[in-house]
Amino acid sequence: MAERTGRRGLLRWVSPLATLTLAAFVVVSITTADPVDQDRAERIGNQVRCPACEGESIAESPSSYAADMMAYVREMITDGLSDRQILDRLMAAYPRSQMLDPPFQARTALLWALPAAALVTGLLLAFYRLRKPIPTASIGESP
Amino acid sequence: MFSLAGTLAVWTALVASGWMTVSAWRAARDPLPASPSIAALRRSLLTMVLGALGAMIVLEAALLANDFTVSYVANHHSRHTPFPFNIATAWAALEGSIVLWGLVLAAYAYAVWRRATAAGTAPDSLDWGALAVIGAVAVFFFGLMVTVANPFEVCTEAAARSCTASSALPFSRAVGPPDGLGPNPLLQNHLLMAIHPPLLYLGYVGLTVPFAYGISALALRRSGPSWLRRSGLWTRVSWVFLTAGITLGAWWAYEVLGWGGYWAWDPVENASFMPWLVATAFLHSSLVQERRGMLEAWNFVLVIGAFSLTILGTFLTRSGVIASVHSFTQSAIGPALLGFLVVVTVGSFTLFAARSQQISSPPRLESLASREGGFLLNNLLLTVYALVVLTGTLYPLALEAFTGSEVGVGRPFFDRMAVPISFALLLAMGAGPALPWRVARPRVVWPRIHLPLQVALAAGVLVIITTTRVGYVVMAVIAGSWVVAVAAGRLWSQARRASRGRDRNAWKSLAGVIRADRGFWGGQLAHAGVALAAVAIACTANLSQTLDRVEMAPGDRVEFAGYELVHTGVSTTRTPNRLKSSAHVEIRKDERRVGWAEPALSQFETSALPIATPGIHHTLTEDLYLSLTRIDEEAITLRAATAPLQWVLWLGGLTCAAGGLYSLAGRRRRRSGIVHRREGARPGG
Repeated sequence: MAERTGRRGLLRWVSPLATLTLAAFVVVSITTADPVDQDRAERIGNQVRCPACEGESIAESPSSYAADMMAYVREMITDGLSDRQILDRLMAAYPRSQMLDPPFQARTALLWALPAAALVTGLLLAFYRLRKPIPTASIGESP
Repeated sequence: MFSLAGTLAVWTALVASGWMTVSAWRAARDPLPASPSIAALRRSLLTMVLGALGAMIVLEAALLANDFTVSYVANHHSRHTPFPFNIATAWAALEGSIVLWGLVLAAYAYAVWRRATAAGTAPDSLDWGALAVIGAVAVFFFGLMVTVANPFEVCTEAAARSCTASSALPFSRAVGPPDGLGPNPLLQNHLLMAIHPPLLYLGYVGLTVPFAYGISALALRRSGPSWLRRSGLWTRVSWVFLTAGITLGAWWAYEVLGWGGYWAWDPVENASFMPWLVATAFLHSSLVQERRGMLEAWNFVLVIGAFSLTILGTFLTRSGVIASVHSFTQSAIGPALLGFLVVVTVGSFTLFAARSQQISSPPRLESLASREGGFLLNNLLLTVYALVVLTGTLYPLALEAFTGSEVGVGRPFFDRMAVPISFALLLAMGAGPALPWRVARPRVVWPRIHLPLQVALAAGVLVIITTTRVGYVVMAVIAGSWVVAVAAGRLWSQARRASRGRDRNAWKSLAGVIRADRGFWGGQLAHAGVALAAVAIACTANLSQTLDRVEMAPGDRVEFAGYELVHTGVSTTRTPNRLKSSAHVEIRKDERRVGWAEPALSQFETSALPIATPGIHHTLTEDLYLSLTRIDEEAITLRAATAPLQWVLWLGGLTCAAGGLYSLAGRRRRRSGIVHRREGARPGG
């Protein structure tokens, strides 16, 4: 009988161990994977709004204006500029274009803060308001 | 003649909806069950339906008869608009889309009436109050049709291809251009565009019904589960339409717009996505109220929010405010919709605040680790998601309106916020169905989840070994398999329990288990659809390869993503409304021709910019997507991209809608019987 409980005790650990092994394999594989080989011009272009079209980035838009801007980006990449320098020069050369990814500044602070605030408020509400008070305490007082 | 008939129909519907509102409200306030106002309500409701239907029929007839003295026809139709786009022109522009809105609203009002008064049900003030709210919303929309968005105005001054001045008086002297410009070229490029807007409208407008029941319950002090039960069917119906509409919209963007994507976080897309998120949150939190009596106040907030977001979406997409904050006052519909939005939100939330004392005090949550806790997490994530989309969409507008400074908020911002929320949602979506109500103890939960967890991780390992190690893709596969595996595990264990004691194997019990709780299993099917969509989105976003603008003369070849593309020539076809230049591209793989694609640019006579139509080579593993930015006899400028598992996204979206549809079947007979018994048991209900 001791042998049986021993075997069952061992079996109890098979499933969690298998799960952990699989999870470890996945985590290691993902974290050691080479970064996605995305075209650098494409990546930069995706962050810039095409000034001639609504809401599309210069990498997506089929317009000739966007084509010009993408050509300029590629040119600067061949010149060996950094991403930051490329974006700065692009903004200077095409003043009507905008970043699609708003930088964190005073005027965009709310954009970033609102969702975060909502998440925190929601979590606090769930924890403090909806949790049942301890049963013994709730007998004496009715809310 | 069409102007006169249409104007009469719209006025009929307007007057009838006003009358309907008054009589429904009187019926709701009348303590007697057989109020004489109910007969008036029935008559006025049917008249409104006839008026709304009449307006749509007249508009279609005017389009088909090419009556260019009707200003809407003159400005949005042409003799050359082919079938079925001439039919779809009726909702291709602002005024016509309001007519469709009115018709759909009238149809929902009729359906609510039919269901409330069906044999075996006992309609009461809650139903009449809801019909009064629907009537009031109808007054607004039919009011738009006779004022700022009148499709039946008579053209009084015509230019060569349009109407430059028009009058709302049907007896004005009518002139008409000999022909019109036709609808927006983008909208006459693909059949999907003819069906996508009506589906979306069926979804948007349907959200009026749960809103109406919510307001009715608040106004009449009838909080409790009955307003949810009676509106549950309509919430699900509109959710199914919204899901299908959004999926087809994305499909349309992919097949037609020619930039290779299906979702751009464009304000128009966001306008449909926000109500979907809130409606999804409501579907889940209403289950908690039905089952445990909790979250009622929150459910009121959600129905008000979902309805307000549909109005906000209409305002954003129809007022011109997106193009520029300063242009929206040019069309009077912008201020009208904005005013209505303010009235709806301020009015509803004031009523909600005034009644908050009477909303049943919820039993408290015993443990956050429970099915209720799972629903709570789901609601938190979905609402924060909706809030992210809302802030991102409105922020540039608000900033420009108040400070004059411009800021762009686009895909990088939305992606960064949406991706983690979506992953959290997927994990919760899998965990939720495995958690028991009230308290989830590890020794109950672990047996339910350990195998699905291993299956999901094994699926991830399989992807890593065979395909890719890109993190987002692997995580999406794991999360998606997790969702499906938990549901499958629950199904299997219930089937085994059902077959135990009876002499048959579990397989034979599967169908019975599913049929016994269609609502739940329909929901699980919808979850599986979301999981499929998530995997497809991760693949297309991370594994796609692109080729940017190569110039190709006829005969040129280019190597791309394992394919060889050969430009074999250009052809031009002229139809009455456009000149279409197509490039013939041969697609070769391993020295063998595998297909053809014909990306094209169409020059519509009404539009300066050419419209690109992509050429797509579909395979089971990926789409090869070709589009043009320039074409002439000498050369084309070609863009190419691969879209791995793109079709799985459409499958996922439609599976999601199908799951919702299946869960509807389980609710059809829920209204009577149980409902009333339970309500009777509630003191002071």
